[in-house]
Amino acid sequence: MPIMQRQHIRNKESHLIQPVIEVSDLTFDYPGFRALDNVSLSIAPGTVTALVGPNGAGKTTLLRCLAALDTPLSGSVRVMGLDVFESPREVHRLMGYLSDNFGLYSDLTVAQGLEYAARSQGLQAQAVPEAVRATARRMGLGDKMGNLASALSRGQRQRLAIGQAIIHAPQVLLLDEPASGLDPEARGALADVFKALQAQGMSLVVSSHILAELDEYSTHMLALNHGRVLEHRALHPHTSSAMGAAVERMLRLEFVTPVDAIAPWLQDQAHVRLSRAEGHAVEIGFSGDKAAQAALVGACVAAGHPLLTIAPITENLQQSYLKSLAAERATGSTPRTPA
Amino acid sequence: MNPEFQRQLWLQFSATRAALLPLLLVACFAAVYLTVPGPSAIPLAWSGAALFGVLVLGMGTFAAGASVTDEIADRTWDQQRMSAMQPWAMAWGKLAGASAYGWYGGALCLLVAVPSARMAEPLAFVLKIAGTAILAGLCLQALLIAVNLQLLKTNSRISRRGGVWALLLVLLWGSAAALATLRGERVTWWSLGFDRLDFALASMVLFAVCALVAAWRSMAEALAVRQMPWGWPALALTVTAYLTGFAPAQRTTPVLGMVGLCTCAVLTYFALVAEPQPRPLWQRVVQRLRSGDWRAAALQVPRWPTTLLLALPFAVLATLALKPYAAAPWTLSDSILLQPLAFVLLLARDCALALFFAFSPKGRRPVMAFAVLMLVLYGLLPWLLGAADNSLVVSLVLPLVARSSLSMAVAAVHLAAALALLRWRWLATEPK
Repeated sequence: MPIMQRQHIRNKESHLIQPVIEVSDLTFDYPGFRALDNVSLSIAPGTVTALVGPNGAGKTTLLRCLAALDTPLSGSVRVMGLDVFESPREVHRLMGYLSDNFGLYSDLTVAQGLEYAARSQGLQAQAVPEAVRATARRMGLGDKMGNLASALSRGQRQRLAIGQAIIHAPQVLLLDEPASGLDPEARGALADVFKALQAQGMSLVVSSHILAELDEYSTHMLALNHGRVLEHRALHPHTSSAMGAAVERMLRLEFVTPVDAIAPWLQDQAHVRLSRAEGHAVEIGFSGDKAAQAALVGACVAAGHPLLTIAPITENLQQSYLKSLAAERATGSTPRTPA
Repeated sequence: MNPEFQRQLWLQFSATRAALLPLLLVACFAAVYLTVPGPSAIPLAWSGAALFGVLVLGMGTFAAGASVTDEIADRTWDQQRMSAMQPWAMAWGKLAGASAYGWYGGALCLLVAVPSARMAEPLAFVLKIAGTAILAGLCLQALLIAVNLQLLKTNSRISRRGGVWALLLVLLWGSAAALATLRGERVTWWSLGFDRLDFALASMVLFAVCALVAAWRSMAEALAVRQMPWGWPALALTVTAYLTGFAPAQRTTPVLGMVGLCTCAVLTYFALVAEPQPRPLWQRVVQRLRSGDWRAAALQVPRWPTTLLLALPFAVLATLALKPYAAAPWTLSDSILLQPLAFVLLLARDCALALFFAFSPKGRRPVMAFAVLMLVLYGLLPWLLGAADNSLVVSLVLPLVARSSLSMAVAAVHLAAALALLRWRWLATEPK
């Protein structure tokens, strides 16, 4: 059975609900400024989280802290229940990371580079040849095994680097600007790879400035600004994690009357998290299934709240991100929305 | 097989390189054999030793050091840090793998040098010399890995220029060779007599172990595997014990105090300038202390505070033990040797001043600024004021030359002023 499938099954068995990443009150200082300010979040299994934010927002710092490459001032990061700062080497067996400034061993062949990655990540010796072959195939490098890394194109180098990061079938993959410098075709191929990894149960956190590209495969958005979480939520309605865990989706409810009195009532309903109430409309995060949604409609009617429409809110990543940024600038606050 | 060791072998060995080196060496030895008049055993032994030095101590050491710096140049360091390999596995993989080609050549040289030397010298002597040379190679290579791992933190290019390994090569190999060539004489160490060559060999074993521990702990730090800070003070104690062993038996205690104090001072200054001391590092220590998590604070603390603290008991020991010797010429009455406690206070002052520069938000070269200040405080200013022939004024600037009680008081004032400066800088650089 391929390693990825075995990993997937193991995930299903043991980590149905437990978040793969839990960050609690993470604060990181560089000399003179605070890069991360009390960041708390959790990442569900089988999700692809788009980590977005302006330059200097703290995206790379957050990824490096998640990977135990940098030590924060305070706070904790747990990956699959392990404290990354207490047990970094153990966590690295469960994690892959590709930095935005990655390099390759240019004097090694593709096969040697993959073999080194597999063995240094603790893969058993007998599993290494198959893992090397499978990863090379998956990354479209099956016919380049004997080529030196220095002889590969930019896109092939990128794929080799990602292959090295995933060869040990990690449960978490952190990618910092993975599509930077790639042509549209290579980006498309990379998006397909990420979707396939997610489908196999891997959780991905991808930082990028190219929001349209992230939109293609992301299930969640984590927006950072000034080192704080602006917003962290599911992107698309009916999105659920590959593990079957309930994931919140956004709904817009329009009423005949102003919602001033309705909003507090809504907030008390099951599966509802109030996001915004304005005029005759309310936006909520809803974590129930379709039956629960139908029950909510019935409850509105029964309580005498004249519901006009209920519809999923669909917006692309760019719209979501810009809206979060605008809200922060307008209010000066940071709306924290747990996923 | 250790993956890092295997990777280094992939890089170091190819069929061509593996075949080329023996051919070159055979050509070298043949040239010596054919051109030297008379018996060729000794010239062959010397040329074998020289080539061993070039291949193992030179090329092997350089390759071992480059196994660390190349990761930065190739931007693969993050990948290494993200691996699941434990620090010791990574350290010995680099050490043995990167230098393997040098050792391959070195072994071929010894195959010629040892039998050749055996014709003129006793076998035991030849083997001890060879053992000392092998240990010196191991020591240098491990040490350069440790040094380069430290220099990575400061983004220093010194290691890439090769200055460090050249310096270490001269210092260690030179001292070992000097010891080894004094055949027949005996060394007294902790009142025990040793054959000088035996002692050199045993010393090299100790140095090699220290270097391996240094490489392992530096690698652990680089791989974010935090460890309790026992390594640096352990090194201070080892060096102190080693050097004090040479003291005359009747003066062991004062020498122990002074050697310990001086060793701690040297290691404190070295760690102070070799390790970056950014404010966030100390914020982490303070934050963990405030939360009462002493273990976490100890895991974060840099090296120099450990030897600064260790200097204090040595200073007390030296102060007490030196009293009976105050009149003896070698104690240099009224000089630094008689003011150990004041010296520790000044050491603490200098640490505070180094942090003052390190925390500066605009300071681009805090180590350079600190070095210049030390030059002024310990050299230029006392010299200038000394020209006025006023010893009291000089002792206010450099309290080491004053009488004991005055020097203590002045040094304490210096320390208080430095701490006040540091506190001001700390508050002024609170992150926004």
